[in-house]
Amino acid sequence: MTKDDHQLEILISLTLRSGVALAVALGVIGGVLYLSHHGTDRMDFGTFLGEEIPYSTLGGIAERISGPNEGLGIAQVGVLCLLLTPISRVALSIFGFLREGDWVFTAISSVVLAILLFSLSMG
Amino acid sequence: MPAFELTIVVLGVAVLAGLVGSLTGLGGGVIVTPALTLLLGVDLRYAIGASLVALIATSSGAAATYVRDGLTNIRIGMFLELATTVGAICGAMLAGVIPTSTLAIVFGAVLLYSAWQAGTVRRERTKVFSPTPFARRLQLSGVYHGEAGDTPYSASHPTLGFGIMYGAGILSGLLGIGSGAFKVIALDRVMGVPFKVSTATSNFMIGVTGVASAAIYFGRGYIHPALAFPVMLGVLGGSTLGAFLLPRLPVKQLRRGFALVVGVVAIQMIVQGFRGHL
Repeated sequence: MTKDDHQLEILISLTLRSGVALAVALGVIGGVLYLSHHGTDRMDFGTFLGEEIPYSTLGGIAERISGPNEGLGIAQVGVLCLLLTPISRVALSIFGFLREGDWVFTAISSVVLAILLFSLSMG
Repeated sequence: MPAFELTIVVLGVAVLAGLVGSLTGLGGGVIVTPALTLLLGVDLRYAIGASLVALIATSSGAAATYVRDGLTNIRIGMFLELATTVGAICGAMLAGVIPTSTLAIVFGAVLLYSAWQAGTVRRERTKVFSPTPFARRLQLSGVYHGEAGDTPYSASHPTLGFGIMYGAGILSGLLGIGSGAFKVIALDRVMGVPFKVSTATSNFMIGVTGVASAAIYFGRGYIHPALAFPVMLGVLGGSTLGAFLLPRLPVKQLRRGFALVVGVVAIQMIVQGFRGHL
């Protein structure tokens, strides 16, 4: 393990930690808002509604935040932050390996990032 | 059930699942899905979505520590993520066409195997693997800073390891689990990576693998924030508590007991799947 590798390790560790912290903060804030306004709403997760829920698109989430259920909208932004955390970790590694002049691993990390972005584009 | 009560119950179940997951080493996600479906009647797809979110949170949190301590092999992890991410996307696609009752049966079978793995005592590997030229070319090596001093290691059988990781990725995408048990087997037994490095590297890979399928599930509406936020917070809390208790408890006996409980849950999942209740 080279010195450069260790710098990359510290940076990756920080990225992961802050991503999770942000998701937790948004989850707590959103959750409290949601329960304070909609705590008595009847909820049922026994039937799957699929894409009918307004939280599966960015537009749907934005619309929720601006009015009917800002709490769950914020909580879902937290989920998005969490999904972006490992993706940023991979992106960061590309630069790390590039700086080390490790072309093989720059390529490998880039392909992993491409796979993740492909998956995002399908979602 | 009113939202407030339901959230509290889900939070409680998630804390327990995180605790059991961390004490058995199975990970929080694999227990939270059966708990939500069997105990609370949550649709399997919502449970899978929420458990994926919890999984990404716990594995990223734990990975942050392992990476900082230099236990994770980033190169080996990144190389194998090529296989797990493609597998996870295939798994998520498959999940869209497989009936949920079949998914429940597969889930139960995988859970049963993981419980058996967690319950049996791990034997120390004595055979030393020699690295293949391919592994050497990719620098799939490192130094494990153990209690007995520094041990250099190098990964062998990268192609076979790659294949198993693809399978682990499919399971992960299909069921919304980390499939850490399979990842550790590939790293530790097949590729000859030291056990602690294997665990840390597997953990490192779980977040990226999880995202590959979670992104697809997100668009399909599997991730409902009202369920995802208490599950994420609960599992994180439970596994943090587990990590705190782990060095203070008689782990070996506990592991057996919990593994037994998880085994019973797994059988329950299979039975309900066959009855078509899930």
